[in-house]
This record gives sequence, C-alpha cells and structure tokens, in this order.
Amino acid sequence: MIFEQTQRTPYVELTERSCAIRGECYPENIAEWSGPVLDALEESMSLSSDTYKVVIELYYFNSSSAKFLFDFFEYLEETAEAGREIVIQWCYRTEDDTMQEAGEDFQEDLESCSYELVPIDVEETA
Amino acid sequence: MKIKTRIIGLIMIGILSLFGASFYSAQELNSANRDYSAQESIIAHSSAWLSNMDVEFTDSLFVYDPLYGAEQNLQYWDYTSEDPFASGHPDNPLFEAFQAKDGDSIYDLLSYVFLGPIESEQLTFAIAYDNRGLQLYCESSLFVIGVDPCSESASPDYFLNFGAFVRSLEDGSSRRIVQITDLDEEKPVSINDTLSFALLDESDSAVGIVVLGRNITESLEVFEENFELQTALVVGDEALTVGDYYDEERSEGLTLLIRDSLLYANATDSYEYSYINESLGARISSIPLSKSIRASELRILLFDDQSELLAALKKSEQESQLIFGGMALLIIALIFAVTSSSFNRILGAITALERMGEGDLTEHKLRRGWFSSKNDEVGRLQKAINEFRLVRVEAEEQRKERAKRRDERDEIMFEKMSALSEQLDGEARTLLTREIDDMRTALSSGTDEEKERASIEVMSKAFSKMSDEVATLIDARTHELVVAKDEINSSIRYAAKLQNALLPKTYPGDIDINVEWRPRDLVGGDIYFIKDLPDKVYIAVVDCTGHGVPGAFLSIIARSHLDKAVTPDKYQSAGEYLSQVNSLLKDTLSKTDQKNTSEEGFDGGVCIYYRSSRKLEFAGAKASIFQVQSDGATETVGDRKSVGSTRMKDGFEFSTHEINDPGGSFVMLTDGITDVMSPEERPIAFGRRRVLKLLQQATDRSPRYIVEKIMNNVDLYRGGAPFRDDLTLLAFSLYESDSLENKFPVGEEQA
Repeated sequence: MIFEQTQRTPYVELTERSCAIRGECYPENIAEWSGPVLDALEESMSLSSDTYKVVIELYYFNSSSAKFLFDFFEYLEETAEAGREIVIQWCYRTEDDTMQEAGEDFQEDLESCSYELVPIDVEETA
Repeated sequence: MKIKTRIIGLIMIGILSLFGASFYSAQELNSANRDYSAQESIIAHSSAWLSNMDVEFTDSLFVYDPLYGAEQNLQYWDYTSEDPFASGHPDNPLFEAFQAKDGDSIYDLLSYVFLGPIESEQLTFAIAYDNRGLQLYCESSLFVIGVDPCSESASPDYFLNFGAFVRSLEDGSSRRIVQITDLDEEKPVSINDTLSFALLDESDSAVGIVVLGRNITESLEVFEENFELQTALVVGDEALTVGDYYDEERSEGLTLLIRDSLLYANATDSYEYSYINESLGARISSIPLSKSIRASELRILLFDDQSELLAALKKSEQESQLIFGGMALLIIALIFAVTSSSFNRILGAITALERMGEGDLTEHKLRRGWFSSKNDEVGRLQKAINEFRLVRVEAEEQRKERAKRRDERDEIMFEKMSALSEQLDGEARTLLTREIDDMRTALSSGTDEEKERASIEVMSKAFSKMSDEVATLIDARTHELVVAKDEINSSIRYAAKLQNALLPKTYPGDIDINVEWRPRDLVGGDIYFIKDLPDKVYIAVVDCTGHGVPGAFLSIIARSHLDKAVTPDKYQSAGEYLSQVNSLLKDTLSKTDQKNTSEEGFDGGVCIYYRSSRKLEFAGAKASIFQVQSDGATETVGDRKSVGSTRMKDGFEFSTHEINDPGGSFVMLTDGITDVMSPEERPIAFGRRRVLKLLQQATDRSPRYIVEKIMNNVDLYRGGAPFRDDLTLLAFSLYESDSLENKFPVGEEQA
C-alpha cells in the first residue's frame, strides 16, 4: 500500500515485510493523515510474521507530527515485545543535525526493536 | 413532347430515310438493269439479224456472183465459157442475146438458171436489164410479198439513177438493199437484199445487168419466230410490219409499240436505240436493217416482250421493299421496346425520387425490363437512387435521434430552469416561470428544422438567463463569503493584535534584548515572555504545539502559566520553574481534555537572571541556549522532553543549567529557525549546528547584529521555500552592573 507524497506529508510504502517513510511531515491536522497510515501499518504487519523492516528518512516534521512518530514507534515496540522481529533504520543526512537528534530521541524509548541510525552522505544522495 | 416519343420519332425518320435511299437505289439498279438489258438487246439482236442476213445472202444470192460465186454458176456469166446453157451454141449465148436484146432467148437462158431457185424460194426475184435499163427478163416468186417486182407498177429504187448504178457494177458485183415501191400504191414497198452484177464482154463493158433479190420479210418472219419478238420495218418515217404484207390488221399492241418507238426516235433524234417501255411491257430496239444502209433510211424495230423480266424486277423490288419494311418495323419495335422499358425504369426511378421528396422512404421496388441489366445507365441510376434512399433513411434516423436528444436536452434545461426559478423570489420567479412557459410553447410546434432552431435559440436564451441568474446567485454567495472571510480575517487580525499585546513591550533596563518574532500566519504558537522583577528577570522563548489560531490559543495558556509559575519572593531555579509550568499546563490540559491525545504543550527554554549574584540559569524543554563570547560560541542543551508531554515519567524535573559567567550575548530560538528548510526536493533543515557556526563566526556580538545575521542567513538558506513553522529568535546581553549607566553590553565592551 502506498500513500503518495504531498507538500506536507511524506511518501509511505507499506508491505507485509517492510515500511518506508520518506519526506517531510507537517500537515495541518496530523490525526487526519496519521489515522489511515497507522491502520494500514497494522493491517500489513498482520499479514506475515517474518522480520519487519522499517526505513525512515525524514527531512522535517513539526511537533504535532512528532506525536504521530511516537505512536508509530510505540506500536512497533509493542509488536516487537510480542515476539515479532523488527528492524528500524533512521536515516539522516550527515549535515542534518536536527534529524540526527530526532532519531536519537526516538531511540531512547525503543528496547525490543533493533534500531539503527544510518547517516547518509549528502554527496551520495544529491 | 416526351423524350421517348422524340427518340422514337427520330428513329422513324431515320429508318424512312434509309427506306427512301434503298428504294431509290433499287430503282437505279432496276433502271441500270433495264439499260443493260436494252444495250445487250441492241448488240445481240443486231449481230443475230445481220449474221442471219449475211448467211441468207451468201447461201441464196452470193452463189451467183460472177467472180466469187459457186463454181457451177461462174460459167453463166463468163462470155468465154462454152455453152453453159446447153443451147447448142459454141459461145456463151447470153451475151449474144443481150447484145441482140433478144428477150425470148434471155428469158430461156436465165430461166434455165433462176427458175428453179425462184420456185424453191431461194430467190424472190431475178431481173435482167440491158445496159440502158431496159428490162429484159423478170421472174419473181409465186409467194412474193408486197409489190411484185415484175409488175408494171413496180419501181426499184436503183432506177432513180440507173446510170450510176450500172457504172458501179462495172467494177464488180454489188450487194445492196433495194426497195421496190408500188407506183399504184396498192402494195406496200418491198424490201429486198440484192446482189447485182453486170455481164461484161471482152471489152469489160456491161452488156447487161442482173439483179437477184431476196425479200427480207421472210427473213424477218423467221427472225421473229426464232427470237419470239415482233418487228417492224421503218422506211423513212413509215413503219411496215410483216402483217402489212399479208394485209393483216395490225394489232393494237403493235401499233402502240410502233408509235412509241417512232415518238422515241423523234424525241431522241436517234435511229439506233433500245429501251424498255414498262407500261407496254416491252423492250423496244431499233437497229439498221443492214450494215450498208443508214438506220435513218431503213431500220428494223424489234419489240421484245419484257413483261416477265419487268414483273420479276417489280417483284424483287416489292420483295426488297417488303423485307426492308419488315426489318424497319422490327427495328422500330425493338427500339420501342428498349426505350419503353428503359423509360419505364427511368419513370420508376423518378417516381421513387418524387416519393422520397414527399418523405416516403420505404423501398420502392424498381422494375427491371427485358433488355436491361444491373450495370446499364438506368441500372446504375436505380442503384444510386437506392443508395441515396439508404443515406436518406440513415439521415432520417439520425434526425430522429437528434430530435430525441434535443427533446431530452430541452427537458433537462426546463428542469434546471424550474429548479432555478424555485430559488428565486417574487417577481423574478414569476418572470422566469413565464419565460419557461413561452419557451415550451416555442418548442412544441413547427417543423423539425424550426424546432431545432427554436431549441438552439431557447437554449442560448436559457443559458444566458441561467448564467445571469447563477451569476446573481454567485454574486450573492460570494458577497456572503467575502463578508464571512472579512469577518474571519478581521477576527484573526484582532487576535493577532491581542497576541501582540501579550508580547513584552518594555525590556529591563540592564538587558539589551533584540527579538525577531514571526508567526507563519497572522497569529502563531510562538511566544516569548519577559518578567522583570526587582531581583531577577525571567526570559522565556516557547514554541507551542501547532500554529495559527490553535497555536495562538495554546500560547495564551502557556503564557499565563509562565506568568503564574513565577515566584517573585522566593528563589526558584530555572528547572524548578519550568517543571512548575509543566505541571500547571498538564493540569489545565488534562482538565479540558481527559485523554490529551494530541500532545499539546510546548518546547522552549527559560532563563532566570539573578541580578544580585549576576547568575544566569537556563532550563530547556527540547531547547538550547547559545552563548556568544569573544572566544567563540557555545550551546547549552536543555532536556529532551516537551512541556506538557504525556511521555514524561511522574516526578520528572527539568534540569537547571547554571551559567556563572554571563558575558557576551545569549541566543534563544524556537525550531522555526532551525527547521527552516532549503528549497531542494529533499531539503535539509537549517539546524542548530549552522546556528552555532554562525554565532562562532560573528564579529559583532550585539543582540541586534546577531538577530540580523541569523535572519539574513535563514532567509538566504530558505530561498523561495515557505516557512514551515512560526519562528522566534531572541538575543540578549547583560549589561555590566557597574557600567549600567553606559548601557554597554559586556561582549561589546570586551570587543
């Protein structure tokens, strides 16, 4: 399942074994957008019991969207606690300290999930 | 006149012309046939007659010729021959007798020679004269025709000039036609073929003349019988028939033929001719009697019965005409049939077209005649008409379909118009209803085309009417919207005014403060707070969740708690203060929203400056404070928790960061600054690191300069990209307490 990118919401691609989020996130009303995404995440994850891989590459999110990310990681943590193997990669550009810090913040709350901060060389992505 | 009649008329005329031409050529052919027959007749009859004459002459007369005659006869005329007459004389007694003019002797002698032949009709007559013309002997046939040459009244033509006649004979015998006329005019002239010769003595002078003759009438009779024709002799202008010699009544037919012939001769001034008289049914030919005589003097008319030939010719002519007529009739009948059939088919086609013109499009069975095919002109015409018909049928179907669609369209239009009219009030509604009725009337009658035109007209009218009405309605609605928007805008502007009013307007005298406060919209969730107390100053820069009006609401709540948490009389560390604000805010929010699912609250930092101890304390909720000094810039990072956050363990306290040497300038900011994004597709936030670098590079460390420099860089970094969030940037520096009057900030002085 795919949620297309908009000016204020990121691209989201969900399969039974993976989830990719890429872009910026600052919608006017986060609940309107995040509700369907979280539902879809739950549904796609229920289809398989294999290792679930999450790749996140965000450039900006506002404080309301942080709440969504908390909820998102919370759900993953719960699922991981229930036994599902989950691997999370938080990607940030080496220049982007804001996102690096955000990634570090989220890491603090996660124990059952395998969490990895992945710096990306700007030259590579350009 | 119909084309068909004209064509048949023209063909009739053509055939009649052909018929005339054929008739004419048949006539010409017949005439040529007759001419040929006539010419042939002249040649054939002439040669037949003349050779007959010659044979008769040779057999009957020429045998007595003194030079070339029969052997036994030569002696009679030779004065040297010894007694050819067996009279007992040693010499030829005839000469003596002539010299002596001894008639009796001559009679005896010549009778010896000629009596037999005369009796046997070999000769018609034999006459002898002395050289002066005295008749010394004359013997004629018992069956003489016409005047008897030996009679007193007989007058042979050579007597007209006997001398010349005698002289001519001295050179040799002579053959000639001799006419003997009856001086008494009782008997018709007799025509004779004669041999005349002289009896020549030793001195070659004529002692006597002998004339031997054969009446040609007999030959003529034989000729008539052999050739089955009638004849007549013409002597000068007078005609004689064989019958005349026998005193027979001349038949009427013969009389007519002779008269016709003579008239013809007069008319054509010719004497040798041959022609066919159709009315008399005979071929009339005129030939000279002999080779030695001119036809004008003496000729024979030959009447050849040609009735059979003529009848045959006539018959063939009639037959050919009959055949021609029959053929012509057949051709006309065929043409009539073809044209009739074609024209009937054309008429059928015309009828079909006319019916189509009247609107009847059912298939009209087109006739096919006997002499027609699918591919002839009319067949193609019929085919084309049928195709045209099919096209018309299709067009008719399309027309019906169009009419149906038009009706549906009209119906929809009326429906919409009625719906529109229901939205109107008063007179406008009545007017529109009346107009709809008028349109319905206009569409209900007339031909298809008129309906179509009316429909289009009505449609354009309705369209303009509806667009007018809709425009009016839209205008009204737009007006309402504009009014509403104006109201909202003015509310927001007013809210902005209110929010602005909540921002500090005066700053403490011992602190140089410069602020850039820029809500993304008219109002925002960012706010800064300064509380100036006698012994301490609170400075806070907070970024409430959300922006715009909701952010602004929250900012007001946050501000009131920032205000409420201040303890004017008691020491309070920055951490304690922020923790207090946190608990106040949590209380407020959980009262209004039990679940508090939306994570309302704020990030931000607070500073408390204790004047007496010249101590600066900082506490941050996801916020930092930067200190800029001559030896560089440092960042003091606050806790990684938001104020009001539900993700906070009970009893969490914000930590206090003490800054013992508060020299230089301090910078506090909301993430509106650090989250300014570059304009690329995958943007990178401005970030705290960039802010720190800018501050480290700062040559002028006055708050005003710092704010300007950061804002300039932020704006440059942003390019055309929009602000994602409200932003607040606050820089301040503390004046040295002993140089308060100078009002120079510490950093400035050091620099």
